Amino acid sequence: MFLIWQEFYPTSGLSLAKKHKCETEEKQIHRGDKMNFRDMKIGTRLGLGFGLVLVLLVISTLVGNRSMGKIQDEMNQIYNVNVVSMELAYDMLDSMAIISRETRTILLLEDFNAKQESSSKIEEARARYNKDFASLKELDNTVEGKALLANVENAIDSGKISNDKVVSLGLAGKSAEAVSEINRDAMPGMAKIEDSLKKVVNYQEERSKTRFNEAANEYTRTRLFMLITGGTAILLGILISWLITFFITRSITNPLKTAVGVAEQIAARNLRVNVPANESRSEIGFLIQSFHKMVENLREEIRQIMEGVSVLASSATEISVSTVQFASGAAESAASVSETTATMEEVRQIVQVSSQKAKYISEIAQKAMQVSQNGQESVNETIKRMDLIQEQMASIAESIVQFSEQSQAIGELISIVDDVAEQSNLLAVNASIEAAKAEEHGQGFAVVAHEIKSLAEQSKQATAQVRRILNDIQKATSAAVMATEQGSKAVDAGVKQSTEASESIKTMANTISEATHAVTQIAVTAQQQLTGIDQVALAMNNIEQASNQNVDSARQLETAALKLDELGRRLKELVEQYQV
Amino acid sequence: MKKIVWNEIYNRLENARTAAERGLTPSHEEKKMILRARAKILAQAPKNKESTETHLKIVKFLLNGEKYAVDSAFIREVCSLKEITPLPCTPPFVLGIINVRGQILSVVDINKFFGIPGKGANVLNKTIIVHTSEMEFAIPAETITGVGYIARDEIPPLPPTLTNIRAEYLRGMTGEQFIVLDMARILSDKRIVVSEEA
Repeated sequence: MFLIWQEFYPTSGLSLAKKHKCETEEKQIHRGDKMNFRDMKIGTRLGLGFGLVLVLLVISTLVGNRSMGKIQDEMNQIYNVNVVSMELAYDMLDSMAIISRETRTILLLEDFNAKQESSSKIEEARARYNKDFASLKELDNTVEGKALLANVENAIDSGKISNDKVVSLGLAGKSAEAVSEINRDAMPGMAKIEDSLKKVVNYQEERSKTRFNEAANEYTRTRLFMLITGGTAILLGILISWLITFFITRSITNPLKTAVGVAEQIAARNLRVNVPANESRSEIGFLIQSFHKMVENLREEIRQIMEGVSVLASSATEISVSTVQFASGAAESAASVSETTATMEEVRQIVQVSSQKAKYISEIAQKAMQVSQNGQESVNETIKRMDLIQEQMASIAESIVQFSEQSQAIGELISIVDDVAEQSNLLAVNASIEAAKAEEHGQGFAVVAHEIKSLAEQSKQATAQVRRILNDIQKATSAAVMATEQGSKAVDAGVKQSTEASESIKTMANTISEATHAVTQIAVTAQQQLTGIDQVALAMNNIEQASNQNVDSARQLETAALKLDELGRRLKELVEQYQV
Repeated sequence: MKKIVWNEIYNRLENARTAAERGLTPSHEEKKMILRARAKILAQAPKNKESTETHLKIVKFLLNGEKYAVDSAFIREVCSLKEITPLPCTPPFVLGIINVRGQILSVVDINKFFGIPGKGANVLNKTIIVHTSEMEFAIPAETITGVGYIARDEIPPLPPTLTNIRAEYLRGMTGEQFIVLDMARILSDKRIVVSEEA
């Protein structure tokens, strides 16, 4: 491809210089980036290398294209200007020849009409060469060309005048004059025109040759340039390719080797491997960094897995233990359910018994009700009796008080007796005094007086005794009255107590009534209970089945837990092979 | 609870009633016993032969806690003191005047006369009317304890604690701690006479 381009687009010298400049710039850029070459991604590196080659190719193409354009311009000039100018010049020569010929024809012919026809032919030829000449003028811009054309124009103008003179003479039939004229002026004029036109033709031929040579030179230069740049590009491409291959391979394989080593270590379950730090921002760098991260993560994960596995192992052991317990528990619960079923039957019997008991209690409660009514009547009777006792107590108190008053009357009598004794005593003293006055005659009287005194004292002592006894009686009556009062109070308390008892019995009667009601309800409830117990017994049967299934499940669970335990142990062994 | 045995109670009441009836009219034997006892007492000869020559007959009495004795020779009689009419413009020892069978007598409190602070709480319902040919008044007393004899020559002297103003009116003290009043001197004392001029 490259070679084909080289063939088709030869470059120019100017482009070569430019290309060199570009190349150095490219190299500078390359060198500037070389410091970070290791950091470059492989794509960048490849891009840089091949970019350089591409730039060379682009430059070559551009230069080739430009040269091609130039060559094409030259060719265009040759074809469109020079060749056309030559043709026009030849056409003009041809027109000149026609004019010459017709002029001679006019001279030769005698028929006027034919002469007129030739004259018009001359006019036609003139119009033709004028037109050709105008085209020539337009085509040629060179100074040299214009000078040549001016000569032609001058020649034509002078030739035209002489020719017109010949034609007018010819038309007039003055052929001799016309021939002389031709020989004198028209023939040299014609030769002059032809000469100037030939000069123009020669000039154009010369120009064509020059241009062709230029184009050929351009082609040769371009081809050389293309060969040089193309070869350079190929060489550079090969070199860069080799360098790129070598360095890239090195920059890829070395870290890859490290990575492989690390990966082998990891494969050998050694996670203690040290991943060399690689700060490079290339893919390999990322790979190594990723490896580093991966190893760290793996380490952490393996550690966590180890912990997890140990937890799993212990959990599995616990689960195993628990399932064993669960299995035994399930068996126990199955046994318990059986027992419960048996117990429910017992409860059923008990409830039947309690239902019967409730009926029995209901009857007893009715009897108790009767008894409590009797008790109520008895208590009312007691209260009446108590009232009677109260009245009798009052009469007893009255009697005792009367007795006390009577003993007081005795006391009054006693004090009279006492007074009498006192008086007797005084009388005895007086008698004694009188006896003393009577001296010897009063001896006997004195004895009597003494006797009276002694009697008085005796009676006094007796009264004192009676008074003491009376005091005792008073005290005794007071005590009796107090006792009676206490008795009365006791009776009051009894009445109160009896009233309370009556109230209690009433309450009891009510309670018994309520109890009767409750017991009736209990009987009804017991009946309902029986139904409920039947349902419970049914449910217990279902539970029994379920618990038997539970026992089976527990056994399965136990097996599963053992397997889980085994799995945990194996996992542990597996994880322990890792060196973290 | 103690059961009341009504029969026993009725028996006891019956016994008491018969005993009371019998007590009012003593039985024949009881009468005999009483009479025999009295005869025995009467048959006894008097123990101490206190003659009027050698012995002094005294009447003993109590006045506001003080024990006094008075020679019976100065005593007209003893009687009960019923109503004292207080007399104005008289010394404090004159309690008032009494009417004894139509005779008006002044009542002289011996304790106050002696200047002994009387307790005055006791009931003075007895009086001893003492007299000489010139003077006669009544001494109030709580109790007339009795009649006794004391040897004229052997009246025991007063204890030294009582030797104060009233010593001149006292003759001595008996063995039973009765202060024997010198009634002759008291009755003849001018101070006891209430002067109209004074």
